[in-house]
Amino acid sequence: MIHGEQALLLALLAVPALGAALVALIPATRDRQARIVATVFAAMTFLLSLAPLAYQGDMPRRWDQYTSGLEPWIDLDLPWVPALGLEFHLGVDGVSAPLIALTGLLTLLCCAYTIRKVPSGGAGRTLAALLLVLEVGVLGTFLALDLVLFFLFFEVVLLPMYAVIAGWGGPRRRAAARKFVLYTLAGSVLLLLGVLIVVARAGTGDLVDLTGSVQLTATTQQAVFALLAVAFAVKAPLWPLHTWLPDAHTEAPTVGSVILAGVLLKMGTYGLIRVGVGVAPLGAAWAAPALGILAVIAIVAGALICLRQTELKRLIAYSSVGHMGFVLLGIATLSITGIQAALVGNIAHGLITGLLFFLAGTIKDHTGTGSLNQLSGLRETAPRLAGLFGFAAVASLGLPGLAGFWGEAFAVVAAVQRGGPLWITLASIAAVGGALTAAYFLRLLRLLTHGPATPETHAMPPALSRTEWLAWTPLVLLTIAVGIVPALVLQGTFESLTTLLGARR
Amino acid sequence: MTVADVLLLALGAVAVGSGALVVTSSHLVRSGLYLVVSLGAIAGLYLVLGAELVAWVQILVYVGAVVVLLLFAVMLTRAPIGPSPDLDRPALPAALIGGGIGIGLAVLFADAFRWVRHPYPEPATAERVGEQIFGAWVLPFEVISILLLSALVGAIVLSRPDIGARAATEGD
Amino acid sequence: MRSQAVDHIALLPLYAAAATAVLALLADLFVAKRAVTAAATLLGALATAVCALAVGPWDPTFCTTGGCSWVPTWPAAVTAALFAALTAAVLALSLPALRLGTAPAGEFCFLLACSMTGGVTIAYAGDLLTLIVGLETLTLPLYILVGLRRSAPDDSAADGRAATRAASASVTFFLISVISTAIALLGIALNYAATGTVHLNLLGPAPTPFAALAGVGAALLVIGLAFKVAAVPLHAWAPATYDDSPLPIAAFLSTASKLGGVLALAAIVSRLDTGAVMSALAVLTMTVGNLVALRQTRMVRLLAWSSIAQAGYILAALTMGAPGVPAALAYATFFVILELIAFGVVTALRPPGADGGTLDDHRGAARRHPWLGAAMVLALAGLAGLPPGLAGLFAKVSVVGALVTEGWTWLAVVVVINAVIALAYYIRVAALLYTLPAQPGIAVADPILVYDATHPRVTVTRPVIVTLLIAATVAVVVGFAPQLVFSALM
Repeated sequence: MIHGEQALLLALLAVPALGAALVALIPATRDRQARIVATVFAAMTFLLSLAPLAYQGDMPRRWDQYTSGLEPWIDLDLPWVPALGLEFHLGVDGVSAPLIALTGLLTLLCCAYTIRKVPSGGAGRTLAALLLVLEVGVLGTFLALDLVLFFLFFEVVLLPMYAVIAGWGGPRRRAAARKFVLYTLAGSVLLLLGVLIVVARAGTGDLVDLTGSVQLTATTQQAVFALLAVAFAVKAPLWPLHTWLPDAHTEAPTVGSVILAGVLLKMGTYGLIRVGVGVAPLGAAWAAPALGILAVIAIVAGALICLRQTELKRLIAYSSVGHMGFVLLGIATLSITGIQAALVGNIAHGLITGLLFFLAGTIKDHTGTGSLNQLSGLRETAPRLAGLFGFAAVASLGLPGLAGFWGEAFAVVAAVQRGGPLWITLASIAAVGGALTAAYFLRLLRLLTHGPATPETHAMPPALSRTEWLAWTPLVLLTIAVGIVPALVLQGTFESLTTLLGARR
Repeated sequence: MTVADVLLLALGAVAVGSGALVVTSSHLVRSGLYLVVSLGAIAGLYLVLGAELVAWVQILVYVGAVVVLLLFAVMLTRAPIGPSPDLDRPALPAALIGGGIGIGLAVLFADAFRWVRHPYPEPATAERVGEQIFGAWVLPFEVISILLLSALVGAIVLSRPDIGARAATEGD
Repeated sequence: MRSQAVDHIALLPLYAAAATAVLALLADLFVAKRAVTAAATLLGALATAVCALAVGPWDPTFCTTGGCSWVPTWPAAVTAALFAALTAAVLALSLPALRLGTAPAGEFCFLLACSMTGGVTIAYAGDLLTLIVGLETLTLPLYILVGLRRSAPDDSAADGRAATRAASASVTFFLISVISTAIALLGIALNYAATGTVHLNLLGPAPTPFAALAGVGAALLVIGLAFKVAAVPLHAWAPATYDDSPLPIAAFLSTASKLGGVLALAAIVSRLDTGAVMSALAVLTMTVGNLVALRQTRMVRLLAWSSIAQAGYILAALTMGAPGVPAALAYATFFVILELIAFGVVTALRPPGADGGTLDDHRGAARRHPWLGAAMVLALAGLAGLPPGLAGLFAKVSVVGALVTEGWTWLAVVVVINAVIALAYYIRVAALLYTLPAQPGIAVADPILVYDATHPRVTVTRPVIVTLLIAATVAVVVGFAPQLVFSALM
């Protein structure tokens, strides 16, 4: 018997799937209506995705009431394929609820964006349907509480994202899409190996049973964490496995870049927290210094590369590498502060970089170029857009009061709190990286918005259209809201993280 | 060394030698005739081992039918009777592979059986073969009938282009 | 002398299959209408499938001291039904070509039904002799079907070339098949010399003086059977034969013939110790198959090399011996369904009686036939192991999971690396289907009109549509409920 709240979890997956099927079947003559239908389904999914936030743990538990490392707020467990040890086990807790809401929001905004603007390359309704399918895959990943089910949903996003990039992307989309899909599959198969090793050794794939338990030996955990870390490092992405990202982001259409940066990258970091740290905590502890070093290299390398970039979308793509470096540094500290920093950094990055890619997409659509050599003086020709761009850039570099600050600052604080020469060094380098981030964003603003207006920038319309306001205002407001009240994101996480990390300490 | 052992060795040598001549000869007809000798020697081997039915079937089917068919095919296709320089002559690789496999199998058998003395088997008369086929191996026997029927029909339909020939216009 | 006891109920699937073959010949003789012959064969194939599933597990029959020749179990029934379903599907795919007269209908249906009989025999075989006889009965009609091509009297030279290529493909296939059967029989003989038995339930390790002999026998048997699944290094016949044979026959070769080989291998490796040989074959097959497929320019050759690589994954599962057989059979089942869809789509997109064409011939096909494109994406994604081809994903998970559980982790790593390499060419084909057709080199007012004029649209006939619909539905259903397949093949 499925209760109401469990039906919510099923609905979160069923509604976008149904929407995708319906939209794909609508004939070509009603393309615009199809995109509106897709947006309606995305809106329904968004409302459903806000619902789990209402199910946060009502009362604090006593110390002896914690029974497992993972206590979902809503839990749905149905048998599916016993021969593979696969159960249809869905659940939501403090770590995944904000990500689910973020996914719902960004998909809704992207579907709404496609109503007005469909990039060349194919029918708009197909693009909207693919966005909904991507949503199913991402939501499934965030909801899955069974390892093989997690892997399955992890794979669901591969082909639709390939289709989005290869179908509606820029001039070099084929090569970029192929690189993306082959890289990501290489990571996914390592995930499969890690998952199957865990299932074989522990006898179960259920995350609720596996988190915090001691069924795996230390060596197994180290091997498993190594495999999982590489898999999630490709997705996150973590330097040096990030080389698929700049091409994919540059060549993808606007909505593709927003979904890729805002949502798909989070699958990697979420997987690292939920599966990597949850299932193999000893392995995580063993690999933490290496992860921390790579994260800091990512921060600094991303910043240095950004300082030399001349293409707008590519610069934002490399900035994602840097931001994910902060998130991974937070995870590597394996402390509550660190992972909370990672979680809020995830959400902040999703909101802010999503907004940045929307803005960059608009600029590219109207001016026909993304090259900073040809774009300048946006302040004069499109002042509101330039203002929004400034806001987004400043939020991304971590200005206190906006969402990006918490992720960066508290990752550094967590590293310092961890103590020891290595972590303090990493914290200081990360802080320097933060300063470099500010440097390249300010450089971007100077080049793009200030200076004399070029002919390309004159092509920008002075005012923003209604769709654009509707699409971007939620992101702006949420960035400010999360920046002032990070508890919006972190409210339910303290208990979840205590139980997650408590097993190790 | 009994008489049977000597006969086995001799007939085996004849079979292998004429087999080698089949493959290396440059005269097509001579190859066919060497094949007769080789298959006949194998029939002799069967006789020495007491498998009478198999020996006579070997003579009837292989020597009688197959080789005669070969010679008819050579005659009807006007294949060259004299030496044909364009016939593939197997060179060193084939000899190495063939010889290597032969020696390998010989070593294997020698290692497995050493100097075991086997009692001379009962002669495999038609009665005994029939008992085995209809007492223990009925199913493969019957399925082979389907195999043979499909081979028959297939050979006919493949070689007779007038069966089911396409008309100039479409139609059944 | 007593003859063997025969349980006719257990033999119902065999009777149905053989009766279908005879019925096809008689219908062609007495009624001489192509539609009636084809309908009779289709009904017969479906009746065989129904009989196999209805009888299900039963007492073995044709028993002698030691073992039985006909062993009905649930996996045997399911695989026999699968053979029958594949025969029906391939016959339906051939109907447009038969209507055109590319092959005589009665003999074609008869030979296909004989192949089905061989497949059913392999499924239920209880001893090595029945297994080899079944394998030969499965393959021999295919020698003829590959080479059977009738040209119309006024056809141009191009069609004559096709007939010559078909004949040469047939001869190549025949020669290599016969050699491999000879090797397999030598292996059986050596094994018999060592252990004194050919019944499957008595096969096992031989007593010490004969251990080497039995080992070599087992290895030779495996190598001879590996030809049937086109394992490297016995694979060279496959791409040429698939490409030069009629498309539905290539589909049958790729699905049913491979399934027969897999069943035969499964029967052997679950009882004899062949891990070393099988692992070498598996690694070679997977890797060579995937690497060479990357370079193919003809559609059917690419599918042939991809099916060689897929056979490699099945061989990897069989390396484990008895614990790997359920995973291997499940993979084979999923693979056969997806491969049938892929070949079916290629058949639908080409004129009846034509070959597979180059990859460029299929460019943009999915934009003109959206449903066919979707079916092809389903099949290719499944073969690559990605959603939406969930069937293929579960197949890969089951094989890799079994490998990891049994301790063959290095082989699991090779399998997953190959899965990544394979995606490169599957994605290439899928993307090509949706690419816009090449623009003409000169400026024209309406490129779409020019394209439509130079590439006449192929009407997809009803039997092909129905076949693809059923196959795609089955693929989606087993994708969402793979437990059906797993429980059936336990």
